[in-house]
Amino acid sequence: MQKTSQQTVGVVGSGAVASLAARRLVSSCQVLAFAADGNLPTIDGVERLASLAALGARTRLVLVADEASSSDVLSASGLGAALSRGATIVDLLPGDPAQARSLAADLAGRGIAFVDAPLHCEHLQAFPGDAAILCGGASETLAEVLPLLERLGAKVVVCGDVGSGRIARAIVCAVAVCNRLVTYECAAMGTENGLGLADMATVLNRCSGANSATARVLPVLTAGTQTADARLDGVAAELAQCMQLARRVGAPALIANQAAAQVLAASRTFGPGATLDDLRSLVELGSNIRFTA
Amino acid sequence: MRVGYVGLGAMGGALASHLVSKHALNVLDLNPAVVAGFVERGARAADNGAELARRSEVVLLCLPRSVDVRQALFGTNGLAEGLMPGSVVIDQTSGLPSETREFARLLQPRGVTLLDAPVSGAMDTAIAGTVSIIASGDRTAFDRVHAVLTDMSPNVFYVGETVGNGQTMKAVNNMMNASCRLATLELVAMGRKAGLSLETMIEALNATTARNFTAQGMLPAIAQGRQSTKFGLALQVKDVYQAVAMGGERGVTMPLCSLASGMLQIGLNTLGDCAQLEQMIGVIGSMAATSFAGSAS
Repeated sequence: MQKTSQQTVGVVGSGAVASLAARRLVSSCQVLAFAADGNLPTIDGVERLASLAALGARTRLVLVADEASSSDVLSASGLGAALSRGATIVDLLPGDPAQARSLAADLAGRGIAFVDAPLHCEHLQAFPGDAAILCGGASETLAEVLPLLERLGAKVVVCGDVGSGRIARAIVCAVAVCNRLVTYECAAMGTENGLGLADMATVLNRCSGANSATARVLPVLTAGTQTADARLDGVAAELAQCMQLARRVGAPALIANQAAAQVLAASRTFGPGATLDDLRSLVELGSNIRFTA
Repeated sequence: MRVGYVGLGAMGGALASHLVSKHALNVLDLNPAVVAGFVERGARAADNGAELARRSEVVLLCLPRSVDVRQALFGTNGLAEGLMPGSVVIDQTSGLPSETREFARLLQPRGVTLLDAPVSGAMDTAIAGTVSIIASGDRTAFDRVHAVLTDMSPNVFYVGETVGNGQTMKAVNNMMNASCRLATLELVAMGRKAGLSLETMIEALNATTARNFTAQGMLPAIAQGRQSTKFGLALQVKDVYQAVAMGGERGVTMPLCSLASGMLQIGLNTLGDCAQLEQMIGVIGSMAATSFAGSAS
């Protein structure tokens, strides 16, 4: 596919989401990449740049997924200072919606548009299955960036003004964790009362107990197959932010608060390498059972 | 086949109505008007359980609770007095698995096999003949009565030789549904207060691993101003308490499910015994001081 100057896109960050974005776009865009920590993976066709200034000189559209140093790079004085007026920054990571609005206001002072577009994906290895990009921003800015975001491959959902993408992502994250934890709890109750996991999966997925975890997690629970690579410490931090939002708006979110506490406990129990799949072990430990054969 | 049905309430009546034209159906219920309706359609009324059992090869029950099943089986002129050796009893009550297993043990010396086959699904699915039937018990007996079950719905699941597994499976399903329902509603309420539209959240939830039965069914119904469920809140509380108790008896910790059960109890205490599960939408909205439909607050 021909790469034109109009399709030049910057990707900032060194984590899994930044790598994924660069890989997904490189076939249709000229991709320029920068990582503040220098840990940029080598991707064929992606041009690595040494500074934000170098990036800002060559593109007006930048996707940010800077897991290492968000606060420094994603700011009016960081990336905002490197870009020219009329540029657009799209942040692919979750965060505080109020901070997104504040950042958007700061960037607007420099003539730069901002879109919060966090990608929700529990299992990047299986991308784009069940992944979505949840976008918040001014409608005219969203209209410009949506075609590019759609090229990433995930479902793109327009949520409203700046900050609403992060709100939607927080809600999605919390409901998804509740789906998973409730499924583990009920699977434990069922197995300890004589049911087989396979039978439970068959029936639940045809009945009103169905959810994404009964479809994806329950059928492979005995085998211990991986269903997620989202790190538990990251999910715990996001849920803490979600509960902060709940307090801010005056929503009790009782079940979600309990789920957030359990995820934090699991994260501390199982360490930095733990993923969402390790919530299974939390339930196993709590009930003194084993799901795996 | 000579079939008997005991308990022609809302669910039992809907299930039995699929049998009346396909079998020699005997019926028994405390409500004579309901019985008369079945007789008009070709069923034969029985004066008591023993009489119904003597006329039937297969007897189905759908009663409020296990204590009612015990009375129907073993009370004066109960089914047990008329059941013939080789006959099969199918309990469709949302009962207690331990009680149901005891009923099976008590009937076994008479040569009678008891299966449990509770249903899962809305009333309209029972009427339409598409409700899920979750059966368990002796496999040979299950195979013998399979045609009777599929006459009520093609969606028949068999979950093992242990009597009561069907009821356990139903409890698991109800608990899953209730917990995910309340978790989703309270987070959507938060989203509403934070300024998101219900339609946006429906799209986001269903595009991701946040997808569940509530996001797929109840939330769109709220957005469209439709009723999403027809189920008594008191029955829902009974069901979830049963599930949590079954976990507790086996040492299974169920913190999220227990919390969901407590929220349903708050709803029942607030709204009264006649409340419907649907009204929990308003309860969750009130807890967050917001509404699900309309402009965000």
